[in-house]
Amino acid sequence: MKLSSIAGGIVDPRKEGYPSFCLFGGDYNSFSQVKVIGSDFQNIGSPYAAGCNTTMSYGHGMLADPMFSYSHSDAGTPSSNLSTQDYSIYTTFVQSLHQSDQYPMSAYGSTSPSGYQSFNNFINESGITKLSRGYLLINQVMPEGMRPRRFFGMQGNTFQEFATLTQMVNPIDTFSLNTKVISRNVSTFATGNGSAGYNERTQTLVTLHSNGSSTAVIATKFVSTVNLNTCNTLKEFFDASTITEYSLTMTTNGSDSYTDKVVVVGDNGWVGVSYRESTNMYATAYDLSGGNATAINFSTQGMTTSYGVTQGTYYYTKMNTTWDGNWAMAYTPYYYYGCGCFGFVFSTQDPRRSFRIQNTNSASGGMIVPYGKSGLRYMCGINTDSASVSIISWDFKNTDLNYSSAAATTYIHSNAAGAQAVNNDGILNSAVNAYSGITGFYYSTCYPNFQTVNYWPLNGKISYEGGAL
Amino acid sequence: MKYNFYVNGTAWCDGKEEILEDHLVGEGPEGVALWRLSLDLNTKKVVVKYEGLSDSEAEKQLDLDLQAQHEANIAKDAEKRAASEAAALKVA
Repeated sequence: MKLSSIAGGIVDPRKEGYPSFCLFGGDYNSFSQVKVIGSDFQNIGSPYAAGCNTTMSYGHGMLADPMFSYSHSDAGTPSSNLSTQDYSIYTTFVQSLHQSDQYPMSAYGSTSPSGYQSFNNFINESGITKLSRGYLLINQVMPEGMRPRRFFGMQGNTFQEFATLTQMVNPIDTFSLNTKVISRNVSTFATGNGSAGYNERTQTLVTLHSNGSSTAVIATKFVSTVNLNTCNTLKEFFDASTITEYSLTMTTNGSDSYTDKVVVVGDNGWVGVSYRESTNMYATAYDLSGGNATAINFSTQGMTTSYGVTQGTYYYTKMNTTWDGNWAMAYTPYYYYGCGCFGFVFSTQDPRRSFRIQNTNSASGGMIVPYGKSGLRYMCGINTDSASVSIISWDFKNTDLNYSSAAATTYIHSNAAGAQAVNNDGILNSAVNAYSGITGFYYSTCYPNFQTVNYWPLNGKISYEGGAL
Repeated sequence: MKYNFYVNGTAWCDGKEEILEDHLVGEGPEGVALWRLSLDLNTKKVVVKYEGLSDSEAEKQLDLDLQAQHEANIAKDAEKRAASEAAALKVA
């Protein structure tokens, strides 16, 4: 029985309700507001709104957070939309697509479901928090309603676990993959960081290690009788694994992809791999179910100027999944530091089933979040003066999870286009200006900012209690 | 070169993509970043933002324009606030 099930009447404590997300904004002088919005766009938590006649917002929110406020702040006032700027212009990176991934904390911090928002200290964090160390984290396909609550990373041939996402310097456990190598030359296939993905539903871990200056990659598949997310030690997981190695060929190679690939381990043994190199994004599905790694290459997506992990580790390619864990999206901004979006969506039951998303916004960044049972949302920090917050939603719950042929047409519901037909490897409607009806935070110019909610309430429970079943 | 546009005229993708749902098609110059393209719904012609500039020059210009727009917004908001406060004082 997998952890997603109810065992002995006890629900896995990691299980959450449908996803919510945090919006915040204001002019930070007279007005400021934080609100947590549920999947149905209803407000579920807003502890803070200030309407003042004088400048008094010296700290932000109920916690008087020192990172952002009108004055006396460490990082400035997040009241503009200049998200084409570098992350070091802290106030605009809260609109960056780089803020969120599948983990329950944004690059800058997180919000409780009640709306209590806090930021990590991201000034001179010197490689401590997820902001700059998140690129080490593996991608996880989880059971329904769960996000990764243990934080595993891989750095070359060292697999590791971190206690928290805010202190990712000293792992609490490490395991040398060199001890489990079958044929891989560990010194040859050691270029960059490597990448890894885990599927809890099949208890399968896949690691990828690149050979420098070539497209050659060795994939190592560990199928364990022990769940990585409940093991006592990493050694326990790896010692209980059956190991198989595969030689793969990537479409291209370079310094970004040696370190940064999204690895979506499918239930059927196929693995979706997506990565960016220079101004292109690539994706391939590899068959690691048997002895012969057949590959299906998907269309390459071309971007304009934008940055990858080589220009800053916080620019790593992100992955997020739907609440039911059936779809995973690998994505990166289209334009510079956080605007627009390029992504590949994979079925986690069969990663050969894949679609592309392309949003060419060049002025306002956004965030990808799951919604409802099996959907994803792209929200965009467009000015809410006389307009509501722009959010586009894709609903995959009635979309065929299985691959039939490259030309097979399927249907995806989008609030921008109703039911849209798309072929496998086709491109989804991702127009901006899909107004949500959610009001902005100020009567005049105001750009919404976004943050991950660290627990999605379920049955009256309002915080994650920690631990696993 | 052909490009696909959303029904509101926003660029979607190049014309090589097979789009199965409603969309518009326009003929535009080759080698221009998609974010710069839109379709004028009246003339049905493709409009290139910052025409005459290269992509990298256009990116710099966009940054300048966004900064200018941001500063103009701040100034506009300050004016609105001052007018509102003045009106409130008058009533009082």
